[in-house]
Amino acid sequence: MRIDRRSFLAAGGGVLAASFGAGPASAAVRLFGGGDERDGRTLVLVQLSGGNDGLSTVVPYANDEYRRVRDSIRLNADQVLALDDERGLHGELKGLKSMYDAGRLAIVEGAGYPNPIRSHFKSYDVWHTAHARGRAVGEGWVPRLVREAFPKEAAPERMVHIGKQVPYSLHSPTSAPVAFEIPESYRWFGQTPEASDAAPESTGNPALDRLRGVQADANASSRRIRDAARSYRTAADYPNSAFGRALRVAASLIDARIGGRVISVDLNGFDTHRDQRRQHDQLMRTLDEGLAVFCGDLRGRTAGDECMVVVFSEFGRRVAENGSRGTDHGTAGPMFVMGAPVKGGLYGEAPRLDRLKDGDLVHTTDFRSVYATVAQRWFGADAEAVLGAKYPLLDFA
Amino acid sequence: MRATHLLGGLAALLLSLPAVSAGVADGADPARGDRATAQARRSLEWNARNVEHLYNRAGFGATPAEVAAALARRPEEVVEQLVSGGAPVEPFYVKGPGEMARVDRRGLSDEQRQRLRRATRRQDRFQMGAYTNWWIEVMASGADPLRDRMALFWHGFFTSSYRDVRNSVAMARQHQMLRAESLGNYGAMLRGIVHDPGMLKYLDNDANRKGNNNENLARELLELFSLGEGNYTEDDVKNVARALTGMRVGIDGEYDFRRRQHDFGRKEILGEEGRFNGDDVVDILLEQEACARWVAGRVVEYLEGVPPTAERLDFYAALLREANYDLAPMLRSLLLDPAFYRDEVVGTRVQGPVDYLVGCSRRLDMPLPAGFVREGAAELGQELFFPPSVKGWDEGTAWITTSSLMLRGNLAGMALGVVEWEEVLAGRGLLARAGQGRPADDEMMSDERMGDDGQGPVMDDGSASDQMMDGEGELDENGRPQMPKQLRDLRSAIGDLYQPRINLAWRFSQAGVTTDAAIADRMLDAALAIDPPADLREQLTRRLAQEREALGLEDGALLDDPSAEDVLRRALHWLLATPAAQLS
Repeated sequence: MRIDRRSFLAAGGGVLAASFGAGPASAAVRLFGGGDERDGRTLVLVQLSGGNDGLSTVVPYANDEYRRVRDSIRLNADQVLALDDERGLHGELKGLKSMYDAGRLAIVEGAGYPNPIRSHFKSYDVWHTAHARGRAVGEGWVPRLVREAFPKEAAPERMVHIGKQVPYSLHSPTSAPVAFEIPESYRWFGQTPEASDAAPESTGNPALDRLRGVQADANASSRRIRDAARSYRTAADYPNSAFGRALRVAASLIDARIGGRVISVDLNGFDTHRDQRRQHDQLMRTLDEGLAVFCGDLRGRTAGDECMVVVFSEFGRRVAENGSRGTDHGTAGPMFVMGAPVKGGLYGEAPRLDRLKDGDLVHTTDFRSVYATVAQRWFGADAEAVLGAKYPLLDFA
Repeated sequence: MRATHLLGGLAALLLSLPAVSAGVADGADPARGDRATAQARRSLEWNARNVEHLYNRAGFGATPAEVAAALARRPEEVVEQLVSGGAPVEPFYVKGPGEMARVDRRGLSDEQRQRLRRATRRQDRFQMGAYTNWWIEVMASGADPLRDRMALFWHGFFTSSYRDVRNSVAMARQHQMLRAESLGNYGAMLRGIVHDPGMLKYLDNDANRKGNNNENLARELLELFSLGEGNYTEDDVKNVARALTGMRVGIDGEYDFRRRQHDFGRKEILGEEGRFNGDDVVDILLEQEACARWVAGRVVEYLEGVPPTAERLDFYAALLREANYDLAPMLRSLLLDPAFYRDEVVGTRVQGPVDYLVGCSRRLDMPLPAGFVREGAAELGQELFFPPSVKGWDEGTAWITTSSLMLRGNLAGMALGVVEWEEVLAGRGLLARAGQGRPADDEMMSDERMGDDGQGPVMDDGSASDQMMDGEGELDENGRPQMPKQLRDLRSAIGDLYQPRINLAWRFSQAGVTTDAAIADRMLDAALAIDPPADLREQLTRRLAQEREALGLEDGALLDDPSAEDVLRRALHWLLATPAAQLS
């Protein structure tokens, strides 16, 4: 495995080395090590950490049962942006609603998986590995996707996480993901460990081998990422939240086409066990403001129009609210897929409130159908090879 | 009703102490512990590599002199000293809410009240920071290495975050409880944690009431604190939540049991039935086979860096259980277990951020400002008292990303005084293009660090930051480039008066170490927690030789040159940034 990755790097090494000394100016396009530089297809994963309440996101506002079990935290008809006479988007999701109206937002209802787990971590492991066995698989689903879709590419920044906590979806046993919060300090100061000193042959200590690989990746990606962020020009007014700033950096990497194939960002705080309305309303606003500006910024840019955004969370929440105007961990919830290449609309099927299992929604679409569609229809990869099983494809791409 | 109680509170705990260390707990094999020790004595090789490994994992590293001193003693003696704990460290005096500034609120305007609330919050955050600094200083002192190593483990195991609790008194008291018991008894900690105001607040148990359950604490209690996933059902979670109703925090900040909110009905939990309350739940959990296995597995994996084999897990789970959850027999046996010193374990664990920074300070015998360690570790992903989730921190390779690896090197450079932000920028001709600073949120962040979790409205007031980012060459009022917030925080944490408390040239001269090769050897020995890879020795020697030759000096003459200290510090900085320096 290890040797595979190193030979990968070696294959693109000439390009990397050449670009390294080439100065900051027009670094971008040439840096597209080994891949097809006309192809800027990118996936942006937005993770809503903590378990987003699906019923407060795509709201069955006309449903009597919903109104009954969500006595204190429900959204009424005048607080939603109606999609039809049964359901509506949370009232704060104005930007998403106009994307929906313009046919660029796909809403996949009732996404989940069989035998749902209500632990944040174990459930995330399922989403991150696309596998019921979670981390036992040993690898996130993203490196598998990138490997299948772009077998010839070597650039370490194919997978980038912007933020502190790197999700397991980017985890690979052979290399660490490129991850940072602030591009301008993504560098070594003073004595820089030389990349050439990172001996490619094994030291017999697997941890040391891995870290030497990380060191080489850091050396190779540092300049390119800083240049991309620094030279990015946009009129878009990103909100000054951690989420907004991360999306701005994501846009700069996409626009510079430095080879980022999957970019991950997250928005935290969805574990709303108490006083949910206030927190969740705020989160929906943050999410909507960020994504609306981001998608608007990408629109019309060559690379931006080849970008697909997938929004997900580890689980939805219990159907009935708890005793503290909050909700406990539940099961299925909606996913969003947006961007210029997306065929908007409602996909899947709304989970039935009158057919619960242990007080929880029963999922109607396996979330891996969304992954499979992105892999197969968007990236042209063999979805079965990526996910280890066949899942029905959806028509949003 | 249940009849048996494994532990009936503190009295039983105290009684159990002498009994279990002799191994006579019910159903125990009394010879087991002795047998393990005897086995270890036969095959544990007591050499510098293993001594350093012991101090790396059961503490925060050791100087070469400390390793030499331990080598002169028997392993059992050294381990016993670690396990029985050091002399008591003077505890941090935690100011109670009543001791924080009291102001008469009558007649205040809304704005004044708001300002007052903000000042009170800030004061409380300062106490949290001060307490964190205290703990870091205790870790770095090496006064009680295994206790603090295990306290760090338990802080990630029974974890709570200030981000949610927002109360330094509750957080500090929780930590004091865990640190006091960290080499003591797991059962006592488990019982302590379900009555702990910080935890009850963190996992929303004050909102868990009869007829209106909140399952947050119940679930984590089963999944993370005692049994592990797969060893309980969803019904168990629901019934444990019922049993925990009414356990909450009173207005005085102390534990409070509200009878009227408690569900006194019958519950079925893990196959037992009765009118259980929180204490009964703890008793039931401690009776489960899965409990000792889960805890032993987590401890062994934390200290070794890899999960134990099934056979060793059985062995350590049995030790823990037979000792009624006293931790000493398990720890003693583990630290003397030859398998603890096998190649798969030694030198193969990525040090956590606190490990790395405190370890650098200890190994190099170079005091670091506690605030710098605190902020530095936070930037590297380990913000003490602000764990990322109830699961604590992921250990091992999860610590390393491309950016955290670079930042580790940068931190080492700042600690050694060889990384100066302005100089670096100017030196690379980037001055004109600098200006990535974002003052608007910088100002807010320095006071409202916790606002950045996306939960609060703090960060979302829209500002000129994007224009700032677009601007070329944004300078501060002194005409210097704006520093990224991350580095600015670190710089302010390290303080303007900081200079490294290390004199390498003097140390090497004192030791009579003068040639490139000898200096490299000495530096590797002190700075690394592991045996140096051969190519690293060559590289370091070559670097030193190149720098020396550039100064026109013969091999052996470097230390006499006025530039020697700078050369040595830069070489050490380089070394601390390498992959090998991240391992222990």
